[in-house]
Amino acid sequence: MSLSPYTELRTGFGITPVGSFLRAGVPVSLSVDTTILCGNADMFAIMKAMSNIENGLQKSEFGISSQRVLEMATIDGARALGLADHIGSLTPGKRADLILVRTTDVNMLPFTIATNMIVQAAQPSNIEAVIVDGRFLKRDGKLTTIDMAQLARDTADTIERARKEASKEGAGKGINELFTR
Amino acid sequence: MQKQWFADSKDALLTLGIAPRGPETNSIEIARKEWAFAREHHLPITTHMGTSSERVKQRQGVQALAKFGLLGPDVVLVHATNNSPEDLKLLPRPRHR
Repeated sequence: MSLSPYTELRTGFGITPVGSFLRAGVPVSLSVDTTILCGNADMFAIMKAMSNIENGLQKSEFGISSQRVLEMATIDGARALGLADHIGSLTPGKRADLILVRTTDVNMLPFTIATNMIVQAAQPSNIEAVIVDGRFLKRDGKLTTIDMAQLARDTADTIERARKEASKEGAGKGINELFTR
Repeated sequence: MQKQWFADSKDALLTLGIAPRGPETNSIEIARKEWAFAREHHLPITTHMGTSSERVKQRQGVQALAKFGLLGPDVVLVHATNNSPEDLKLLPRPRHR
């Protein structure tokens, strides 16, 4: 099972019943879904939402541990995809997939229990580096492979083109049939 | 598509999977064909389930998947917010844990 709490809340599917899956022994992993629905691709926020929703549903401050939530976001995702031999944990022989999180930013102070800080306090702006399969994709807080200015121009062009297409006569015809089938 | 865009190895950073609309959006007959295609080509499958209680009642998607052998380690269900405890009992449990 993969749960995308921000989509499930935003679109009114319901309040993600993560605990009922876990108690039933169903393996659970976490997902972003599409950013059109969920707004951004922030796995820290997803972990925190999952933790807080479960505590809220259980009416217990200790309904689910940060450790368990972090596992759902990492190794359980790898298991769901059948890739746990290669990725999902810091283990000799697996790929070097890791992030470095700054513990000296204001929202991370005072830095106490690492797992709790990652699930409850950390946010994307704390990420110092991202390494995928041994290669830096972010270093010193900056993306290494993406030209952000160019990306902003490209996405602006794309949305402009989509708007033009959508305003043409007959655009979207048949869309209702498609989605009610 | 597999040959053009995806390396033929688990060492690749991107691998191909299939995300059919599934038996709560499409008919189970279409779902069976899509699953058969995916499995023939060893592609993992993901589909959205249980997104509304009405749809679950009408379609009984998890029960249909279970009935036709369309659940398993190659299948990830997404959301399942409105699936019943009876549905959950039908989901396979992994052996390695």
